[in-house]
Amino acid sequence: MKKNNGHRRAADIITAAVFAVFLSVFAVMLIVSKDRDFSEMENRTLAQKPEVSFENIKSGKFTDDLEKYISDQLFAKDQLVSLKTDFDRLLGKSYQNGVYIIKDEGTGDLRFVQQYTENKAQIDENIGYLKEFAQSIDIPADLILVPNASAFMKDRLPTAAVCDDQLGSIEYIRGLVGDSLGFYPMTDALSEKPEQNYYRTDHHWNRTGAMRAVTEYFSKSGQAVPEYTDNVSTLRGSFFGTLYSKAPSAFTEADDLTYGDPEIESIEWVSEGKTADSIIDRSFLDKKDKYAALLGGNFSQIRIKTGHGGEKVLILKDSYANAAMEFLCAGYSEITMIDLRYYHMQEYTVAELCEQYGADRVIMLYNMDFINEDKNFVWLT
Amino acid sequence: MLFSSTTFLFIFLPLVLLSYYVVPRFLKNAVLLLFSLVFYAWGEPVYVLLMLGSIVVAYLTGLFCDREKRKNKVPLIALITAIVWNIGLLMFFKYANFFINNANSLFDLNISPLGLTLPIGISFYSFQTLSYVIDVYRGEVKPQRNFLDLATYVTLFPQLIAGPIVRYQTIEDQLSGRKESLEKFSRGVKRFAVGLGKKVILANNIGALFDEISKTPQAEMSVAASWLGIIAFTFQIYFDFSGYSDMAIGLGKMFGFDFLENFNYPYISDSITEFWRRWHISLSTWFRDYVYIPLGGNRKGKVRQCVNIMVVWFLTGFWHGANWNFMMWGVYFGIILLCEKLFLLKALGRLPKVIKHIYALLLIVIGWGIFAFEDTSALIQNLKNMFGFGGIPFTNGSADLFRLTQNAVLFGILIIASLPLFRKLGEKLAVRLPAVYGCVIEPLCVAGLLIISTAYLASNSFNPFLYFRF
Repeated sequence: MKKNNGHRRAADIITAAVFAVFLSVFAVMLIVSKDRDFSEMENRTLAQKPEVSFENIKSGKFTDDLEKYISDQLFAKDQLVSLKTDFDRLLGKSYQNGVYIIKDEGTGDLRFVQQYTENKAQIDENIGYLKEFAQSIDIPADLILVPNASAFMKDRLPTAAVCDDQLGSIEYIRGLVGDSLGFYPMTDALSEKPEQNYYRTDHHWNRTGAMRAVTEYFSKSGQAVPEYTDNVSTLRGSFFGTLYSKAPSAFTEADDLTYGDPEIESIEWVSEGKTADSIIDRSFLDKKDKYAALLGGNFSQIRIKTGHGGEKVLILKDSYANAAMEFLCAGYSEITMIDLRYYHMQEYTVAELCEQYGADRVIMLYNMDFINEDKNFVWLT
Repeated sequence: MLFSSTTFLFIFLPLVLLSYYVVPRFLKNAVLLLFSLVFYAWGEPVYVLLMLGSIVVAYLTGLFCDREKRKNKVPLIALITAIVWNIGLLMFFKYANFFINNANSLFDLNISPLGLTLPIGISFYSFQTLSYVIDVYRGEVKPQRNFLDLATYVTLFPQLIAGPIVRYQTIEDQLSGRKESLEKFSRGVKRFAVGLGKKVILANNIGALFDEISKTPQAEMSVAASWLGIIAFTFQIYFDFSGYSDMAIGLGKMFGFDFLENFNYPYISDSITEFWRRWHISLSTWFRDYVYIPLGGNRKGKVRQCVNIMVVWFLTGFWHGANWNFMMWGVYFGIILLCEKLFLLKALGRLPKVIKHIYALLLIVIGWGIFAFEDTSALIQNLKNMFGFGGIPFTNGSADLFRLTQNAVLFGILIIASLPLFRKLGEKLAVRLPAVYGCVIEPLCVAGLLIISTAYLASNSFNPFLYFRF
């Protein structure tokens, strides 16, 4: 009887202690650990200590701000979010936050595939703007349309997964463009061994995918396939991309980031007034968003002089083009890249710029998701 | 403030526990009162004055309600004052806009709505102070002369904003003479962890499915999806609300209080009569003791009893919110309970248990179909959808299948957690392996529930609270 009471008491002490440790660890760490300003994981600035004032307290602003502060600065927040992701996976939720989590055959590494929901109205509108633009200029215009990973991995998604067929959208676009511009969908170039062409943790394609696609573009469009740079480096095992951030499973293997750094004469970020002699911005290699090492991210206008012969091209682009730029540089003498998400209300319209620049060719390089969703093509007019 | 928030868990709770256990006995209620006021004032500081007003009214009317001392009309006047005050507050803050809007549309008037936000927990503390004064009037409890103790009772943060509706008589003695103990504390911890897990891991998770389905455009709906949605809501509301009650009871225990149980596995019921004995027990007993019995209960003939039942269930529904759907929901259950009382229970009695259980569950789920939609046209559309009159296909194929497969494991857990299986397993283990169970299994489960709940809170994706508006 006495022994029985003994472990009951021990049990009570242990349970109470578990609770006390739980509360105090989080409470103490909240107070003593240094506040973070920015979360790379969530890609946003974090709430800071709220201001104490009678006005704030009365209006309820103080309590709101305090709650935001505590939830933003929570101890081990990133790890906790990973725990939640994996617990949800344990519950069989292979679809989280718009992303399917699947496993690669062979290696068993986790791969994140973004869901695709076709938006015909937006596609019609965007392709309409591109066609209109192509017809308004008197130089050749080519559309390089890059399917995303889901296009080739539909059959590997979980049972009954809801994900529209990108290859269908691409055929739909083929019908829309007719012969108004050169149409180069990258379905063939990327369909073989597609897992080699895309990052597992990021929504972008990788160097292999970009090289296969640009090579196919050169040869199919009757341009000579140039020799690419052999100054290639790989940053191993530390790239966790954007899709990982949406469902950060602790079991994720990092991606390798491989990038070529061709010799060029100069690169100029026009609005920023910045110049350099490499298309790689190495400062991003230490940050979370390592893909931004390619050209330093996305900017309204970037001008590259390669220092060798070839055509002058104007490239209308999204972020997929950043991985392709290394190979496009090899083929042309000068490149101006326009990102319509940022090229708003500039001194010249894109058409004017194109004429002034004396471009020989316009290349439109977009990924399927972008054509399906982006609302900035209107800036082309 | 919500229990299921990081602010409550890691700032408020450590502070209140620490303060409570370091101060001497005579200050303990004061500490609880102080923290409860902060808890209440969180987010909406002004309404704390309203609650303090209610406490003063309860205190004074309570003192004057004592019929043993006063053999004149004073107790009756005090009682009426208390009733008018509390019902008046509810009418003004909770129902005025509803009446104005309906009068406007009915009589084509143009009265502007009051633009008041509902004071949190007003439905709960009004009912509690009312029960206190009525009990004093009936001579069931003595008036509380210590203002602090009465204020502590009304504001007690564990039960302040979402119940259970703790009756004064339940904790009358505990207010002055309760004993905290390690054993009670650890039971409180276990109960709290279970409640937190029910709310954050289960209710929020399945609530996301209901949310998604209820936002699906009509053109993409199917009969199967509307059932899946309402079944998700059935689980969501149970685990949300009973989880909150568990947390309240657990927190109460940490401070030495014993509240009554509020839920008793309602989804194992074989009839609606049984369901209402197991669901939100503190509310149904409140209406039984303060409305149904005073109206005459079953002592004044069959007809009068039927009327009484309908009145009680209409009010029960309306208590849940100033909206037509809540009234309909109450009347819906009133009618079913009436039928069961008159003939249905007898008829059901001969049927196998499975059939009875399906009968009860079906009616409960359909009831939630009424409860879940405050917008009447959405409510009607959903009922039409459920019964195949919505002009929609039976199933949308892969979309429905996908929702089901993504949530299959969760549904399995929800079903198991709705049954008393875990409790029975715990009881068995406690007998067979008392040391291992108490010292290892239980603490591990507690730690797991707390950490995983915190992980969900950290992700902050979906944390609504269904019983906030009541």
